[in-house]
Amino acid sequence: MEKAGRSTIVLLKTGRVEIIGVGYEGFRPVVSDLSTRELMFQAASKAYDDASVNPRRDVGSFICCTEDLWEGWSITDEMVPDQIGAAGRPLCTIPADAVTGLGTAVMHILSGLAEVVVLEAHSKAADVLDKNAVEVMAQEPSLLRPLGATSDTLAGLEMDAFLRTSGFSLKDVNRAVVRGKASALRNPRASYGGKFSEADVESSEILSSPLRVADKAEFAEAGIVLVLASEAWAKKNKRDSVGIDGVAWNSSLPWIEGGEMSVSGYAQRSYSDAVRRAGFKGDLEDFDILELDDTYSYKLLQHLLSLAGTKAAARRILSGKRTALNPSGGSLGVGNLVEASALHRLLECALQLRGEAGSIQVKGAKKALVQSWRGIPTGTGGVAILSR
Amino acid sequence: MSSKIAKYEGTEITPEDLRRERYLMTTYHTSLSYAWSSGVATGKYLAGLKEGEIWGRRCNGCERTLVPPRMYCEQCFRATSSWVRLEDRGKVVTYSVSYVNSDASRRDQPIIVAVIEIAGGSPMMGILHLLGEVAPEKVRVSMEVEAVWKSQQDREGAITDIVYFRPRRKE
Ligand SMILES: [Zn+2]
Repeated sequence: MEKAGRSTIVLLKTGRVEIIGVGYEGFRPVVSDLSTRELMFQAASKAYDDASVNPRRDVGSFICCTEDLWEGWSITDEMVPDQIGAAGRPLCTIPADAVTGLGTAVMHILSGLAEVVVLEAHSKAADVLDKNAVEVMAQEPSLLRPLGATSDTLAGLEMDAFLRTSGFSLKDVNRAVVRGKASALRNPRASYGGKFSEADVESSEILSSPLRVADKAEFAEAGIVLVLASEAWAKKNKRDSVGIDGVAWNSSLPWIEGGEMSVSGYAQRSYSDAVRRAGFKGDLEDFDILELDDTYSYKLLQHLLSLAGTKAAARRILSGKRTALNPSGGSLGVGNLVEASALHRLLECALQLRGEAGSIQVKGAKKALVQSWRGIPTGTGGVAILSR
Repeated sequence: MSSKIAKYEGTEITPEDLRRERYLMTTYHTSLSYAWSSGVATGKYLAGLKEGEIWGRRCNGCERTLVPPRMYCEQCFRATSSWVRLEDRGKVVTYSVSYVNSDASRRDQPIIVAVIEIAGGSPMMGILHLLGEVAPEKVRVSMEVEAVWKSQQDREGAITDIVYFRPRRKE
């Protein structure tokens, strides 16, 4: 593993930042009736109603996590403000996942730039006809792309190494798929829930060995908006809220160059920084809910192992006795929401901590952790710790 | 290059070197393709164009009529309220005589690109289109223009169903 410096870490010096409202729309394989802008407008309208804020008056900064190649639109900034109430107001788009976006929002609030900040991300993945072409554009152009390997091939390579070095077996991976799909059956936001057996996963078609079709989250579409405010603002305006205790993000070398196979350094370092920031003294098992990135099935186990520290601790969490692991069904069950994936995990945790998760509610949940990853071929991700 | 430096140290790569591929060159072609959902507002707008009609959306908050239509008003941040059929004429707000193609190559004959404020829409609610049947030197701001449509069987629900706007012929 390479020696890396500190993660970008947000220092919460003057109280917490709170999530005071959430809104979402879509969560279907294809949201064909709405344009990207209309999808965002619906999600934003619901979030502002939930937070009882007027975006034209109360919001000081808008942040949208988006990537031009997924939009099919260069310099996406221009197509973002109007539909989330940000016309003529401060807005930035950042090509990063929403945990990094959350960190940016926290910085805007704690630096005094804004008291209320809006964080938006969306997926219109079905608009992208050739997703493979977009993914391959993420590969280094001289040394990787000429070989013709897709993201799934690179995932297959990493999965093969993970299974040989981590102590987890293909059976563990199969179970991860089965549990994600099963949890998703009860989540109204999930597009890919189902009663799968381990044999179903086992017989799924090979994409690039040992990776199979069932190991890969299928794409889905949604718009998600969170409204954030300083603790002082939330108190003064009597808003019900979920607190952000710590947030951090980090990059490692992609595993191809960095050789990280059984664990991911970005997840480990983000976790230790976020935990330190939150002043959290317990173990991973002390969280009531974990929503970890499972864009590929084996990545769930790799991320879990990275955070839990030992295989024994990871196995205890997988047993499900104390901590709920991906009660939403994760990306395997809900769908791959591209740049909105991390915001989806934050949304699920916010709903859980508010006690509004309905049929997937984890009883008495008070502390939750979100872990994000930006996808193949990156070694970039983050961790956010929420509580109520 | 600074006027004080005539030549940098090292080996210069000339255009000839590149043509003859004397160095490793990486050329990458991709085929990014998208099918954007038109959504409610643009969907109805395009369907209207196919019928030879221009539609806008009315906002009850600021009482503007938005064209091209949107399902939300960016000023009021609320859903727009109703559809309004507009006339297929308007006036030139601003224009440019363009001698360049979208690939930056030079055109022999220029195109005239204009923002046209559509009659019935709110002031400064304009759509971008082309002007035709008019010499570049005759174009004026505030000039009244009308749409020239493709024939009904050739219209496909696209902005190009209007071939161009031409100076309005007084009836
Ligand atoms: Zn309005």
